Parts: sequence; C-alpha cells; structure tokens
Amino acid sequence: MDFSLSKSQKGIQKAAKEFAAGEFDKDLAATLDKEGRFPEKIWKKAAQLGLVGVHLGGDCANNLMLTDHVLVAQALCAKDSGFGTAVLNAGRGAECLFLAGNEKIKDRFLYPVLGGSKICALAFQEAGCDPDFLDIRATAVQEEETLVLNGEKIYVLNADNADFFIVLCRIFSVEEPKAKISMVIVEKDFKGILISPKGEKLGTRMSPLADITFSDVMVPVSNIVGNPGNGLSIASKFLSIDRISLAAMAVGIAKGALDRSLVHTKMRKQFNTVIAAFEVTQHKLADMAIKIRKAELLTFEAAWHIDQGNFEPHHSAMALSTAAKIAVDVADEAVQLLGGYGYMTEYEVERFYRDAKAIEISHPSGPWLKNIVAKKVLGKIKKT
Amino acid sequence: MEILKFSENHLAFEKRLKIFLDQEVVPHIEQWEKEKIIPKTIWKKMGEQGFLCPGLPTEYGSIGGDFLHSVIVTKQLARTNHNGLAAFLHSDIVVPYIESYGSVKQREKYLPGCVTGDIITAVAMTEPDAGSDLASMTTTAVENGSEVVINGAKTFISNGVNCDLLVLAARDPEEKDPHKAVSLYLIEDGTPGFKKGNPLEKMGWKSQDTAELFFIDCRIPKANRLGRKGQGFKMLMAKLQQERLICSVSAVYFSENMVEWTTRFLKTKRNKGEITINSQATRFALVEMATEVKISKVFMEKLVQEHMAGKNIIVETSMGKYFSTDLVKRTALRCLELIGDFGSLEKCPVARTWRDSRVTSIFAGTNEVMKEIIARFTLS
Repeated sequence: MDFSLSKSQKGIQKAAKEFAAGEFDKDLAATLDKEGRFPEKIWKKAAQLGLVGVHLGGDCANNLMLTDHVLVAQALCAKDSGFGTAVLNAGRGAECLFLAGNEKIKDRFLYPVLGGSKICALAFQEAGCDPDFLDIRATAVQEEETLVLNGEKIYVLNADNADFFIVLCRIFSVEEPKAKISMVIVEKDFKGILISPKGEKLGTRMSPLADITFSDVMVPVSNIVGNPGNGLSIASKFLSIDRISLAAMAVGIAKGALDRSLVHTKMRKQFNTVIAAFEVTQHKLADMAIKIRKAELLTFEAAWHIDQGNFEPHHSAMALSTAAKIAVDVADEAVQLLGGYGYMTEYEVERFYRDAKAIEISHPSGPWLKNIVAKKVLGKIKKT
Repeated sequence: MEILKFSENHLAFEKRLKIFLDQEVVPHIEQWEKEKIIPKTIWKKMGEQGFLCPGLPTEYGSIGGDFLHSVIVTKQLARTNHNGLAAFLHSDIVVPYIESYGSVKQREKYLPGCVTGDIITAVAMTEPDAGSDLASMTTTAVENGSEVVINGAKTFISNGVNCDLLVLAARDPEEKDPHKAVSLYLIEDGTPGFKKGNPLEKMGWKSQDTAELFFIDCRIPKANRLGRKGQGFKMLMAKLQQERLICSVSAVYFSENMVEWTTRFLKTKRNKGEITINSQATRFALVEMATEVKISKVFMEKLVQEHMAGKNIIVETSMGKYFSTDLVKRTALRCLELIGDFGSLEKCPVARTWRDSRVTSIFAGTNEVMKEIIARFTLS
C-alpha cells in the first residue's frame, strides 16, 4: 500500500499552499471575520486558478478527483480557517450539478461556479425534517413548463451571496400525482424569494447563514437537475462528498492550529527556557499531531473510495465525525499553548477554534454521523 | 447536599441583586460586548446598592457581609451570561490587597471609594514576557527618597481602561533575587506617566475592558507602596487562594446554567431528525454533565466553607481552579454539540458562554501552573 502522494497530487497541494501564502492576509481575515463579510476578491482569484471544485475537473461523474480537493481544502484551511472555508463553501453543492446536470445546466451554473463568477448555495434542510431529507415539505407544482415552488429552507450557507440555490423539493404534476423528491435550481432573481439572515455567527463568519422562504416561485422545468424523482439519489452521493469536503477543511484547520502552536512554543520563553522544552507541552504537541494524522488518513481514505466510485456513506461519516472533533480539540489546545495570547484575536488561533467548532456543530450532527456508521457496522438487526 | 448555609440576610441580598442586574445590566450586555467596555456608571450603581466589597468592615461603608455575599454576587453575575462587570475581580481579588496590606491612611483613602464604586480597581502583574513566569517581570520601581519611579508595561489587565486605582507589581532593579525584588504599589488613574492602552480584542469577555498598561517615568509618592518593600511575592501568594477559589465559584455556576439552558432547549425540540430530549444518547449526555457539575459544586462549596474558616487550602483551591475551569469549557463544548445548528449563532446564549469560558483555564494562573503547584506540595 503506497501512502505517498503522486507527483500531480504534490503539485496541486503546492499550488494551493502558494496561493494561500500569497493571498490570505492575516489582518484582512480578522477584519472580514469580525464584520461577517465574504471574501469575494480572494474567492474569485482562487476559482480562476482552479482551486474551487478541483475534484470536478474531469468530464464526467466517474471522474471525480476528490483526493485532490481534499489536499486543496487542507492547504487553504491550514493557512487560514476563515478564508479557506469561505472560498470552498462558495462552491458547496456544485457537485450535484457535476453528478447529474445536463450540458445546459453545467454551462449555466456549474462552470461559472468553478470559474469564480457564480456562487451556489444548498437549500436542503427544513425545520424538523430528517437529516437524510426523506420527509421534506417544500413543494413544486408543475404546470406545463413551469414549476411553482413553495417552501421554507433553513440554515442556508451563503444565501445572501449566492447567485442560485440548489433546492430539494417534491414535484407534483397532474400526470404524476405521486410527489417525487427532486433537485431544482432556483435563481436568485426569481420573484418570491425571501431571505432572512440568521444574524451573527460563532464561527465561519465569512459565510453568513439565512433562512429562505419560497412563495410561488416560478422555476422553469429546464432547471431540474437530472430527472424528477432523482433528488435523493443525487443528494445522497453529494452528501458523501460534502462530508469529506468538510472533513478536509477540519483537518486543514487542525494543521493550521498545530503549525501556529509549534511556532509559538519554540519561540516563547518562560522560566529560562523555550516552553517547547517542557515534557507536558511536548506530549500535547504529539497528541495534536497524532490526532491530525488519524483524521487525515480517514478523510483521505474516504475520498479515495469516492474516486473509485464507491459512495457508501459510512466512510465519509467516519471521516467527518472524527475530523470535526479533532479540529476542535487541536485548536482548543493551540489556544491553551499560546496562553493569554491565544485568547487575543490578533494571534489567530481563537478564530481557528471558532471555525472548527462551527463546522462540528453544524448540520449534519455528530449523533447522525454515528448512526450512519452504526448502521454499517451492525447491519440489519432483529429487535426482538 | 447543602454545605453552605445562606441566611435570610443573604437571600434578601440575592433577591435585590437579581432585580438590579435584570434592570441595569442584562438589557445592555449586547451593546457593551460591541463597545468592549462597560460604563463606569454601572460600577457606581452597583456600589450604591451595596453590591461591591460586601465583606469589608462596615467602617468603610460596606454592608458588613461575608464571603457568602461574594459567592452570591458571582452566582448572579454568572446568570447574566457576561463578564464585563468583573465585580468579583474588584471585590474579592484586588481590594483584599488594600484591606490586608494597606496602611491606615491608604485604607481610609481608598476603601470607601471601592465600596461605593467611585474607585474601580485593577491588579497588574502580567507582562508581555512574564506570564506564568511572574518572577521574571521587568517593570521596575526605583525608590528614590520620597518618590518611586516606575517604568515598564503590563498586559492582559482586566478593568484596565476603567480602573481608577491600580495595584501594581514591580521590581527593584538593584535586587538580584527575583522573589525578594517585587513590591506592590498603588497607582491612581491620571498619574503622569501612567498610560492605558485601548481594550484588547479577545475571543470572549468582550465587554471587559482588558488592556495593556504603560509606565513611562511614572512617579508616585513612596507612601503609595502597599506593605513592605520586597514582600510583593509573599503578598501575591497569600491572596491567590481566594482568587483561585472565586474562579471555581464562577466556573461552577456558569456550568450549571449551561446544562439547565441546554436541557430546557432540547425539551422544546420534538421533531425526529433533530437531537431531542428523547434520544438515549442525549439523555446520557445531559446526565453526565449534570453529574460532573454537581460533584464539582459540592467540592467548591466545601472549599468556600474551609476558606471562610481561615484554613490554608492552597492545594485544594488549585485543584478546584483547574478542575472547575476544565469543566466549564468541556460543558460548553458538549452543550453546543447537543444544541446543533442553533448553537452556531451568537443569539444562542451558550455561544457566548463558550467563548467566555475559554479564558478560564488560562487566567489566574494557567491550569498547567495549577498542576505544578499541586505537584510541588504533594509529590515531593
């Protein structure tokens, strides 16, 4: 088993690292985080360099290169948790279009996202509905070539900045009275869309959240991704990819926190020694490194499965539930290692901590991920 | 399970304080968090109502209470879910230095104002290069005839901007032994050469005016030295037991509040797919947190009781400090996980509690230093 990166993988990793080193300004990050603003210029540059959706560079659904995306996500988030997550989340959902969109949809929506001229936002979640969206209530009634969409979606990331939403809804029509859960693209300028910002966030503040109400929104039938009724099958594949993408961001954040801890502990002197000389400090740093490696390997393996065409959900669930928690642990320890400075926004690690925590507690929840893994591990159980 | 016995007097005090905080403090917290400071007028209002320095002798104008009043103040402030109004810092950490080591003149001059809130205090020990290694501090105090000249800088000083009176730790540059070099001095706001920085930008405690302080040929009368020369370290060590204890008190109450809030919140979520009170994993998580908090509270109350009886409990208060602050951080992390998406919004109160609690394992002596202290006393 060869665990080393290929030449092309090393190249992508290097490109991402160099981009981040050149563009991710520490002070700008602090400002945008404080103001809750999206880094539009930096996102465009990243996209134009091909760093957004690098896994979608192939020409068909069998050609995902998720392992490349994992490397990019880690590199960007290690340099800056805010910029990294914001830039990558601007393309969150584009995978659905790659997996199931026809050429027209790809031309109008996917390529502009990859190119940095459009931002997409996912509108799947609804209040009180299952994390696997089996019981969503948003409805689109088909009248000839138009769908009339009504429904409420919650916790939509980047709703304000998005140019279009990828919405899961049930399509009814006179010919097909049995509602089929489908995926449709709703463009920002359609009438009847009400965006309600959810206010200040704890972390990943450069990507604001909002609830969206769709009231009699007219959506052309040509905006259906794939076919009516494909919604959940596309979503299920997408969610496996999405979990890995989030896991990769978390791994990157953890790496960035460790990097900063190493720099600080090797430089900071107390009691006539650099604090890196203390045994407990060394064990902490070792623990951080071990945790990161665990998360990194699980994430990479999960991405590798996707690249082989295996979308089984438990790989990505293991990766995300591990990586998200580890990022929080490692960033937390980084704050402690930096002492009083760790608590100051100027020293960055508290922001890495907040960004890691935001990823961990946002949908999908930890317990849900564990349920996915348990299902795989247990198989079918006879309750009685 | 009751260890601490609160009298009618204590309960009446608590009732008054709760009403005061609900009216005068709670409605303004969001604003103060944005402004990074609380108005001085709030300190005055607290003082007017007898909520500051409740344990001082009545001759200074205080209500003549005891440490249980301090526990009550800390408990009710925890309920407000903010840390801008650092009453326990003033009443239970800084003022005790003046009370114990001040001359008659110093006590008469400053303590009444500390009670009324006209004099807000702060203590300055930490420096940019001297945190855990306090003995390596470089701020100098040169005693020259009837005056003292101070040069240096302090950082991470709570109440730094608002303080009217500062207890400063500074060293005699001529004294080689760092443990004999430090003395404590009282410096009034407005003294030429004493400059305050702007409030520092922090992860939490946003309404607290934590700041850097600068001393450039700052001259004070020698009469402003607190206690005997070279006794600074001894004085600091003697007072740290109470400082660490009050940190435990605060941490335990914040933890308790978070578990209560999270439990109530989860009871309102009834839909499948969300984490609700009906899921077994959730119930176990809440029960585990409640258990840890209860055990920590019993320990804290026992320490309060022993402390009030005048016992030397340096080891136990160090244990309590690190244990309860690890607990409040751990509880915040776990509650946020249970709350889920809503926890990622600042409008969820646990978000602020989490950000605020993060500093508690760092200040008042890091938890690593606490473990060193315990080791030194118990493992030699």
